[in-house]
Amino acid sequence: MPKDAFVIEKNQFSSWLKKLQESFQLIGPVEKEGHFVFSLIEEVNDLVMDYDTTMLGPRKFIFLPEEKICTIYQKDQGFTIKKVQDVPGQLLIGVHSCDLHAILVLDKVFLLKSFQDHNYRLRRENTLIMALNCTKVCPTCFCSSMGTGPFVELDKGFDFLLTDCGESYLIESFSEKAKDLLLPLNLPQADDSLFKKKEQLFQELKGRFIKNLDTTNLVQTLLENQDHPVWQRTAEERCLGCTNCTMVCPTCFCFNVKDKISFDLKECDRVRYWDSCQELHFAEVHGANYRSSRKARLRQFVTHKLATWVEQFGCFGCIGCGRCMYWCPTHIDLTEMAKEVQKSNFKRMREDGYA
Amino acid sequence: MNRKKRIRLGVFKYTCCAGCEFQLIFFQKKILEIFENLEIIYFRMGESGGGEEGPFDLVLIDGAITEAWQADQLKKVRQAAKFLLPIGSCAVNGGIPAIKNSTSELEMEKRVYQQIQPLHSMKAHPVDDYVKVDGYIKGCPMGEKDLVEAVTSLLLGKRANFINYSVCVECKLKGNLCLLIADKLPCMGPVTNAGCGALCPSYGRACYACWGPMEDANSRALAWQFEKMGLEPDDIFRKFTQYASNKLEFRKGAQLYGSTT
Ligand code: SF4
Ligand code: SF4
Ligand code: SF4
Ligand code: SF4
Ligand code: SF4
Repeated sequence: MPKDAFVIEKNQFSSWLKKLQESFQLIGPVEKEGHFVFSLIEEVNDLVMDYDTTMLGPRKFIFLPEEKICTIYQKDQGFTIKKVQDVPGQLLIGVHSCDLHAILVLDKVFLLKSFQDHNYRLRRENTLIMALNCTKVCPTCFCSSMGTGPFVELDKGFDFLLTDCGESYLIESFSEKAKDLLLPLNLPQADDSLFKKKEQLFQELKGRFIKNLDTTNLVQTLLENQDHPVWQRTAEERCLGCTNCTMVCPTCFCFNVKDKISFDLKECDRVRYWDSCQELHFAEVHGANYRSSRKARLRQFVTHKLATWVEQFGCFGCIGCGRCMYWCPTHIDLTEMAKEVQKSNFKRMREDGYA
Repeated sequence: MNRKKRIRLGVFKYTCCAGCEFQLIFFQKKILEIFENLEIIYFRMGESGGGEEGPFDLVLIDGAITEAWQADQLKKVRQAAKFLLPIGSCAVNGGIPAIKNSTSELEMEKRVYQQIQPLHSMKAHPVDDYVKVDGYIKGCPMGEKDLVEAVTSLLLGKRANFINYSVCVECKLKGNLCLLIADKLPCMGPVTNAGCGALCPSYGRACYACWGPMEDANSRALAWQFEKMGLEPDDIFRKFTQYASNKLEFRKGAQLYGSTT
């Protein structure tokens, strides 16, 4: 039993958040037109902690959809560059296990030993994460297959963890900052029985998943089947190249850069915005486009998430949130495509003389 | 950087509502700086007179080509222009005038006019059906961002980087809940070129594709999806012929549900 674990009544939790609002921007799930979205919280009571899922994950508050990288000023001799410096401290509240894993995946992408993305680091360092164990499973969730949920089983990379125990939360702290913030509350320690209850909730929830994906040999199977008919067929019949899948995916990190130049050509805002491999011009370089077919682009999305990511960053790029298939206009489901490849592994069948 | 020579501008209008030219006049007030870099050589709606012959650094063409003389003049203008860009959906895609393309001229003319003898309008065509173009300033009316990009690129001597992805990109960057999924509305955003900032979805209305198709749009797949969502064939046909019935990308969606002739 971790010793930094306490019980907090839900009422007290709300008043504590109101207090924290004086020092942090609070960000959390609220209701919007029958769905839930992560948004800046003005009123703590607006928080909907038993939300199911959101279209865009909390990623959008760390890796912004569109943001300035720097401003470049032309001088008589050369030029000067001003980078983004000040970002507000923020607390992300109610981050589900899958989305927490997604942020940790993005950390691997943007905070390499050899190169750290300035904007990302700035926001990440000024962000506290309050994770929340799930209480529901959506038909599209498959985090249990990807080892990323539905409960948080990590012990670093975030600050707080909440478990809903009815009238109160079990609140655990996983960072020095979190400990300091909890200290003045003088909360009662959580006892063994509460952890038993937590374990029981976890086991119950695990049994409720509808969607699954067998990841055994998945990387190799996908990489061996680059010419499997599922890519061409799905790309032709269903994929619109609209980019919604990658836009809502909480681990997609691709961005494009554009310059907004003043008409006297003396000042330039360099801006970046979310880009997507589903977009025709994504892989265009001078004189060639390496993924000019929709088939190649769709395959890139699926194989990046479920195969090549592993070699690149040492983990899957898919944390099983189900957003891509839910918000795809034609509901293209990467787990179904992967399963089709697993079922009819053309490479193997050819070797065995069947195809 | 030294201020370069001003850009010699020509603006020619063919078959359209002239909204794009009004848009240009509106920009003239709004983004004054852009016009400090332009010398207007020919722009009938803005100034009288001017020389049709050029020469021009930049020519903007407004409107679809629906009469023979327009095609003749367009070819001459092309020769006198260093850069030529169609502006707005009519010039880029055939636009609203091209709605008539899937009906016979006779039927169309009779529906609108009592006397059809003096008419010499033919099917509506986008500018690039007749001459080579150096890019497209899409929109209905044309978009500000691409116009600004065209002019700054000319000033800098770089290749213009026009917006060429789907409306969904802008819609997602804004964080709008997707209407196609959340409200089951038949939104054309997935196949439509961005640039408007996902204007309609931001106000709860499905996109009706006024900017025309993005490159490589998969209209067939979206049309099938609309069918699954319960749309009638006629409605699907209209969706893909309302703003760009000329464009192959949209014809592929329309053809399944009606005759595009
Ligand atoms: S959201 Fe669906 S249709 Fe759009 S690009 Fe992704 S897979 Fe294709
Ligand atoms: S690929 Fe799909 S299911 Fe996997 S993390 Fe991305 S959005 Fe979620
Ligand atoms: S799936 Fe596509 S958009 Fe997402 S990270 Fe990979 S290459 Fe980038
Ligand atoms: S509302 Fe329309 S434009 Fe916006 S994401 Fe959905 S389909 Fe695309
Ligand atoms: S959302 Fe669609 S219909 Fe509306 S302005 Fe944009 S392109 Fe035109």
